[in-house]
Amino acid sequence: MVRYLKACGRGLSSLRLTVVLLGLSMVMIFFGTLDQVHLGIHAAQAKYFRSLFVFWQPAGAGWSIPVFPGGYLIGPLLFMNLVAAHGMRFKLAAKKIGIFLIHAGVVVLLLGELFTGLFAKESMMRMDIGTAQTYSEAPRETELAVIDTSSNEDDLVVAIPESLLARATVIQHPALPFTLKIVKFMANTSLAMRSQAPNSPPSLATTGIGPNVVAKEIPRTVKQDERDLTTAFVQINTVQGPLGTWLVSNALGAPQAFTYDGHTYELRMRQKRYYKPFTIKLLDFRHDIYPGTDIPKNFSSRIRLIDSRQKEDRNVLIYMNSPLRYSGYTFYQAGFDNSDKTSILQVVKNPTFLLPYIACGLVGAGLLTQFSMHLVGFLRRRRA
Amino acid sequence: MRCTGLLGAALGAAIALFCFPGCDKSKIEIYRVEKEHDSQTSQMPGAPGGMSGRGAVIWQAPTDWEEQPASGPRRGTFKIHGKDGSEAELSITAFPGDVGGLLANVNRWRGQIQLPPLAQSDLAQATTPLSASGRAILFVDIVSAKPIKDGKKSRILGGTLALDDETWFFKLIGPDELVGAQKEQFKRFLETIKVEGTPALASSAENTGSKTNAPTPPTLAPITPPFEYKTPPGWIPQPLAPMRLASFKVAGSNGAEADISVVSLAGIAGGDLANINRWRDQLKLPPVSETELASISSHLNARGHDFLVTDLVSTEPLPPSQRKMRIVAAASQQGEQTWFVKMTGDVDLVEAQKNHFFDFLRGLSISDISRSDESAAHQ
Amino acid sequence: MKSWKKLMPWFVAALCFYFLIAFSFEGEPKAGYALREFSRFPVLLNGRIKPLDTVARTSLLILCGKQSLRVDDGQSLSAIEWLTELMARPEAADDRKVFKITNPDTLGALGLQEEENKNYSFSQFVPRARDIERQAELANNVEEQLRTPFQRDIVKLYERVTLYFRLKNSLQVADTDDFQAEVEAYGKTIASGLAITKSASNSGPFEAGSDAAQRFSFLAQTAYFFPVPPASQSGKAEEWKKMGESLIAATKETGIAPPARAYAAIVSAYRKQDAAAFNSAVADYRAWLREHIGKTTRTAQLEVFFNAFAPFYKSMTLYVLVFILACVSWLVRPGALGRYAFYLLIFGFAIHTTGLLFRIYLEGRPPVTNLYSSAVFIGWGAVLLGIILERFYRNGIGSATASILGFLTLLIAHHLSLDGDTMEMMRAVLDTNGWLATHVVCITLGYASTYLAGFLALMYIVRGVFTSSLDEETATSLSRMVYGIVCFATLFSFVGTILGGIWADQSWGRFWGWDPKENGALLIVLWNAIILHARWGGLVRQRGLMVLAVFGNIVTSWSWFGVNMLGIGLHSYGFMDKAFPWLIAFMLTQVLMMALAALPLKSPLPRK
Repeated sequence: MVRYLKACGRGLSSLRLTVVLLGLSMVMIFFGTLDQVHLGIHAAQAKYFRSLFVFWQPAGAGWSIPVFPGGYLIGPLLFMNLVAAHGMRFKLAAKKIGIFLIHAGVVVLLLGELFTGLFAKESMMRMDIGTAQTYSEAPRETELAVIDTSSNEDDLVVAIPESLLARATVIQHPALPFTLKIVKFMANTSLAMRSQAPNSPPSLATTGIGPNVVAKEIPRTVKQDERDLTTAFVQINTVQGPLGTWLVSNALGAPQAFTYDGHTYELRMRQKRYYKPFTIKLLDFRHDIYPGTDIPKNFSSRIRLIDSRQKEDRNVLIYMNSPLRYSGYTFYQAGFDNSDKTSILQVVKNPTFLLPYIACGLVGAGLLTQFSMHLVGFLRRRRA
Repeated sequence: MRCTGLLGAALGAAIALFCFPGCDKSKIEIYRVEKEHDSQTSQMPGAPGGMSGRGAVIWQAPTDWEEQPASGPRRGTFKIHGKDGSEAELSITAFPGDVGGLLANVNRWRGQIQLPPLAQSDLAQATTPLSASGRAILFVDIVSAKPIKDGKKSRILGGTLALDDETWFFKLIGPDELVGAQKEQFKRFLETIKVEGTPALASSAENTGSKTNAPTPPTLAPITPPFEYKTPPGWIPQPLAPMRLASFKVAGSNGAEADISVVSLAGIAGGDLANINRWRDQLKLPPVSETELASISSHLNARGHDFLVTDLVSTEPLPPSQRKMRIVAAASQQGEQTWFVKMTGDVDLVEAQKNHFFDFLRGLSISDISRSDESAAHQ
Repeated sequence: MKSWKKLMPWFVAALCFYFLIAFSFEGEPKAGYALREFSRFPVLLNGRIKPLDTVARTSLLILCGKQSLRVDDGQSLSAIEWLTELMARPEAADDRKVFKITNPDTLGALGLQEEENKNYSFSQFVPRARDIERQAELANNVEEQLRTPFQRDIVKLYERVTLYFRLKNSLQVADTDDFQAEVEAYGKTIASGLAITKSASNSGPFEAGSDAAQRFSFLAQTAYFFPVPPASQSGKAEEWKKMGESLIAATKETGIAPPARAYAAIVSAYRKQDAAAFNSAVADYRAWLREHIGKTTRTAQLEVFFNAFAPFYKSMTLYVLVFILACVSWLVRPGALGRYAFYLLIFGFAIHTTGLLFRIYLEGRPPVTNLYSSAVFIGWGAVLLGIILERFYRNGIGSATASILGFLTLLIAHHLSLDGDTMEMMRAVLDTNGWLATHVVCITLGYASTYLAGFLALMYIVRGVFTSSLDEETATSLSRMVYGIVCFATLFSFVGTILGGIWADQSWGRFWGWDPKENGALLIVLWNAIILHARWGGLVRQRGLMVLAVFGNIVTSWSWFGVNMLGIGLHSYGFMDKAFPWLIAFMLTQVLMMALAALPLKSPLPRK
C-alpha cells in the first residue's frame, strides 16, 4: 500500500506531469479565449475555466461528453503536483529559496482564483443623480421577488433565485400562505404587445398584464453589454384553489399586485438584489472628455455614504482607479448612462482580494532571487 | 513517510477544493426592507423603454372622457361614451425604438379595421402633422370600408409621437359615428401633449453646441443634400461648394449667367428683414425697414413649406459683369433650420428663369429634414 | 593597409554623423515661403496640442499612406505644403491625387478606372459623393466585425473624404477669395458698426455681418482642428477655439483674436501667392506665440524636429545594415566586421532610445501607451538585450538577432502608424501613469525577451540546418543565451501579468477576468514556464529547447496581435483585417522552422 502510494507520489510529483498540465492549461485557455466570440465571456468562463471538464455537445444532440479537462480539474492537479514535488524532492536549501518562493506565490495565486470564484460577489449600483439606494443588483442574475406590502413600516420580501425558478416546478415557503407553480420559465425572451403580434398563440397567463404580452424564448445573450430578459409564467395556488397565472419578467417596470388573505403581494421579476446595511446617495456625476474629442478623460461620482450603525455620514468621490472601500465592499466607477445623469458603480465583495497581492510579492521576490543567483553564477563562471 | 503524509494532505486539500464549487446558490432568501418611496430606483437598466421612466409625457384630456386605471404597458386609457350606449376607447402606449416605422404603424392600425395596407408613397397623404409644444405628432384618421362590430363601421383616430428612443401611440378606436364626432377634440387633445424633463431637441442642441464639437461628425452633409428636388431644364448642376446643398448655373445669350444656390442654416439666421437686407446689400440697394418689408416680398406655399419670396433688381450695372443684376430669393423656416434658395444673375436671364425657379421651389421636398437633424444631433 | 585600418573607424563615424544630421540641410519645402516656420504653429486636435506639421503628416498618412505626396513631374510635395495648399488654395489641391484606393470593389462601385498608382483626387469624387455616402450608410448598418472587406473599405473612404473636406474648411470656408479682407471687414462691422446695424434691425449684432456670421458658423461646425489658442500659457486645453468659433466669439469679446487674424492673413497671402506677405504674417504670429504661449510653442517646435529627425526610420535603416554586416562577419573576417556591426548596433540603439525619449517627453507618458508604441518598445527591449548578449559572447549572434528583431518591430510600428497620430489620448481607465510604467512596460519587455529567445533559436536552426557554421561552441553559447533569455522572459511576463491583475483589481475589482488580452499574457507565462520545466526535467535538450523557443514566437504573436483580432474584450484595439494574413503567415513560417529543426544538422554536434 505504501509502495503503491509512493509510486503514485513519484508520478504526481514529476516535472513531466508539470509540463503536461501546463500544456493542457494552455490549450484550455486558448480555446476558452476563442470560444468567447461565440459564447460571451461569462459563459466561456463557466464552460472552460470554472468547470471540471469541458463538455462537447454535438449540434442538436441532447447529450454531451467531456472532451477536455477544465480549470477546476487542472488547477487542483497543478496544486497537488506542486505540493507533492516540494514534499518529495525539494529540500529546504538556500539555493532553492527562489524556486520555493515562486511556487509558494503560484499556490497563493491558484487559491486566490479559487476563492474568488467561490466567495467574490460582483454587482452593480445604478443611480440617478439625487437618488439614494440601499442595494446593488446582480447584472446577470434575476430573482422573483414576492413582496408583502401590507405592513405600513416595511416590506417583507421573499426572493426566489432564477436558478430555482428554472429547476423547480412548485415553490413553497413558510413566509408565504400560498405556493407558486412555475408554469414556464424562459431565461431570455423578446417581449411584444399582443396587439403587435396578433397571430401569436394564446398566453399562458390569465391575469395581470400577461394576457396582453407575447413572450418568445430566444437564446441567452453572449454580448457583454446586453442583458437577458428573463420571463416566467407563475401560477399562485392557495388552499382555496388557484388565484391565476401571472407573467413576470424583468422587462416589466411596474410590479403586479394581488390580494390574498388580507395581505397585498407584489410579484416582481428583477435583477437579483443585495441589500446593504448602509445607504448610498448619488450627489453628482461628472464625465470629462479631452477637448475636441469624445475620448473620456475621467468619470467621477460624488456620493454620500450614510451608515446609521456606525454613525457614518460623509461624502466620497469615486473615480477611475480610485474606488471606495467600505465595510467589506468596494465601489468602483464602472459606467454611466442616460446622458450623464445616471452613474453605474460596480460593487465587489471579495474577502480574499489580498491574496493576489501576496502572491505578487512572493513570485516577484522568488523570480528576482532565482535569476539574480543565475546571473551571478553566470558572470562568475565567465570571469573564471 | 513524510512524503506520504504531505501527499495525503495535498490530496485532502484538493478534494476539499473540489467540493466547494458544488455550493448551492439557489436558496430562497427572506428579508424585510424599507418601503421604496422613489419608484425611479426600481427601473431596470435597459428595460424596454416603454416601461422605463424618462422624460414624462403628459397630456390634458377633455373632461367628458372617462379615465380608466392604467394597466400594464398602457400609459393611459380613456373611455368615451356615445348617446346610444356605444363606446370608444383611447389607449396610450409607448414602445422602444420606432416600432417598425410610421408606415408599419399606420398599416397595423389599418389592419385592425380590416383595411388593406398603404404603400409608402401614399403615406404622406394619409397623415397630417400636428404640433404639440414644438414636437411633431402625426395624426391619422381611418375608417373601415365595411361594418366591423355590431353592424357599425369602425374608425381609428391615431397620433404617433416619436421621441429619442421610444414611440408613443395615442389610439382612439370605436364606431365611426362616435369617433368621427370626437375628431376635433382628439386633435386638440394631441396638441396638449408635452414632454417634460429634457426634451430631445434641447439635449441634442447641447451635444451639437460648437463648444463640445465632437471630433468625427461625418460632415458630408453639404455634399449630399438631405432633400429631393427636380432640376428644371437648362439648369446645369455645379460641383458642390461649401455650405451649398445644391448649386446650379444657367447660361443665357451673350455670356449672361445666373447662379442658383440652396443653403440650409441652423436657427432663424437673422430673420426675414435681415435676409432681405443682406440680399439688397449684394445689389447695392439701400436697406428697407420692417414696414416696407411686406411691399417687396410675397409668400409662396409649396408642398406645405411657406417661403418668403423677394425679387430685387439693382439700380446700376454691377461688377464683375457690369450688367444690371437681379436676385430672386426664397427663405423658409423648417423646424430648426432656415432654408434659402437664391437665384442671382443678369437681370433679363433671371426674369426668363423665374418660372423655372418657382417650379423648382414647388418641386422641393425637404420632408426628411427632421431625420437629418437627428443624425446631426448624434454626431 | 595599416593606415586604412586606422582611418576606417573615423570614416564610419563621419558617415554616421552625416546620417544623423543630413535632414537639417534640407531647404524650405517651397522656395521663398516660410512654410517650415508655419508648420511649427501649435494647434489642438484630438485632445492634444500638436504642430501643424503633425496634422499634415498624419492626415496625409490617413489619406494615402505616405508622409509626402508624389506629384506628376516626379517631384514630391511635403505634407505641410500640401496641407497649406489645401487650406488656402483648395481648387488646386482638389486635383492632387491624394486618395489611395486599392480595393477593386470600391473602384467598381464608384465607377472609377483603375489608375496607375491607385491614387485619386477629390475632384474625381465630387460627382460620386452620393454613391460614397449611400454605400457607407449601407455598410454602417452592419456591425463592424461582420463587414465585408468592401464595406470596411467604403466606410474608410467615407471617413477619409470627410477628413479631407474638414481640413479644407478649417481655416477658411473653402470658396473664399480673400479671407483676410472678409475678416477685416467683419472686424470693422463689429467694432464700429454695431450701432448702425442695430438701427437696421432689432435682433442682435449679427445682422449686418450676417452673411459672414453664417459662413463662420459653418466653419465652426466643419473645421478639423482648433488653431486659435488661449491668450496665455495658463489657458486650459478646453479654451482652444476653432477658427469659426473664435470669429463668432469676437462679437462678445474684445474683437477678433490676433491668432484668427494672423491665420486669415496667412491663408490669404498664400492664396495670392504673395510670399513676402505670407512670410511676414507667419513671422508676426510667431512673435505673438512666443510672447503668449511660449512653452507650448517650444514643445510643438520640438515635435516638428522629432518628425523631421525620424529616429525610428533611421534606426530601422541601421538595423538592416547591422544584420548584413553580422551575417557577412560569420563568413569573412569575424573580428573586425563583427565589431563594426556591434558599434553600429549601439548607434542605432542610441537613435532608437532618443526617439523613445522624445515620445515620452512629448506625450508626458511612459513609453508604451498603444499598439504602435508597444511595437517600438518591443524592438527597443530586444535590441537592448541583444546588445547585452553580444557584449558577453562577441560572436555576432546577439547583433544579428537584435537587429533583425529591431527592424521587424519597427516595420510593424510603421504600418501601425498609418492610422493617424500615434500619440493619442488615453481613455479614462488607462490613464494612470504608474500602472502604464510598470505593468505595461513589464509585459512588453516580456514580449521582447520571448521574441528574442525565439529568434535566437531561429538563428540556431537556420545555421545548423542550412550552413555548416554552427560549431559546438556556437551551439552551446546559443543554448545558454536562449535559456537565459527565457528566464528573463518568464520574470517579466509573470510579474507584468500579475501587476496587470492588480491594476484590474484596483480599477474594477476583478483581479482576473479571463479577458482575451489577459489570457494571451498568461499563455506567454505558461509557455515560458513549460520551457523552463521541460529543460529542468531533462525532457528536452539543446535542439528541443530551440524548437520550444521558436513556438514562443507564435504564442507571443498571438497574445500581441491575435487577441486583438478577436474583436472582443476590454483591451481590444479594433479589428485589423490587414494584419491578419500576415500574422497567419508568420505563424506558419514558425511551424515550418520547428519542423525543419528535425532535419539533421550540417555539422553534427557530438552528443553530450
